[in-house]
Amino acid sequence: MTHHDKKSVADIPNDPIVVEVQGHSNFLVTVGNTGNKFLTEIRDNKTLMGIKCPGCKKIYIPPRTHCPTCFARMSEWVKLSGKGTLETFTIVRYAEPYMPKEPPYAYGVIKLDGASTGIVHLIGGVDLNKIKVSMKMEPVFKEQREGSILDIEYFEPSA
Amino acid sequence: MVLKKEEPQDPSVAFRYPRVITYKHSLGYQSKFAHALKMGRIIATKCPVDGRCTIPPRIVCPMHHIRQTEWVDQGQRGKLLSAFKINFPMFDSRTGDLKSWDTPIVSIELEGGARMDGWCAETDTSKLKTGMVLEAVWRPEEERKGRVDDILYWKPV
Repeated sequence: MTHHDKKSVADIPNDPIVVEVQGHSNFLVTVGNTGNKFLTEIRDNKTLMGIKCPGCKKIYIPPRTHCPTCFARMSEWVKLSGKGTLETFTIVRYAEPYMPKEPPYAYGVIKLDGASTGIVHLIGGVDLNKIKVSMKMEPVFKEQREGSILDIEYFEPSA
Repeated sequence: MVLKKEEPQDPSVAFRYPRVITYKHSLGYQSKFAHALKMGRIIATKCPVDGRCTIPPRIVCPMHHIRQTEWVDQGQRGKLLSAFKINFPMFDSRTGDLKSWDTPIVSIELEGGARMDGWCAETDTSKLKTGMVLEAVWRPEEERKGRVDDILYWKPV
């Protein structure tokens, strides 16, 4: 090859460059058999389902395939009333991308009656300053449901 | 633990998770390489021990563990070392979507001795022969961003 002329590299600047990079992803995520049952019951029947461990008898919600305590395979579904008790909460006052709604709003952990674990969800239908731990809560479902955990619009204090 | 094979259910619940993550990073020592790309030039670092040129440039020679301070112009042409074509849709990291890739990916030994990869203008892989000479085709200067895809593709000479 004779095309190559040895140009000087001295005229090429050396000062540091900071680049802005955008990473894109667009994953299709299936929720699996267990998540599928949980979400379709909410979507189709407005019913919250827990799953019971055959070993330690704990009832988990959201359900999972294996008990995280004793690693047993779980398959026994338990229908829950949806009502529960607020165990803890936090109020979000700033906006970040991908938040489910505009702040200010509250997140809480609601321990549903009959379940051994709490479920994290939005708290609504109440003045944010009047939320108290140990409040009795119940779910408010959306009219249009699509098989998402956000088919529950929020949990509100029981009347 | 051996998991029992289960009867597959209809996975009717699935979600799309479109995400865009923006971050900034300094090119550091490689900045000169990026400046060169903006100027339509390809340069490489050269090892002071054996003269091996590396792209992307490295501050330390990976073979001799010695600092590389010399930059060498690599010209605009190179010899084809290998080529392959992806015949099924693959993810495009710039969009996150599946994309069909028509252009072969080529590995080239440049006139200056460094090796680099790129896209090839010749989509018929039967016409690609190792040793053939390819030439860089650049984006218009005003569109260059100091990235390796400022070289649009390599075309046979």
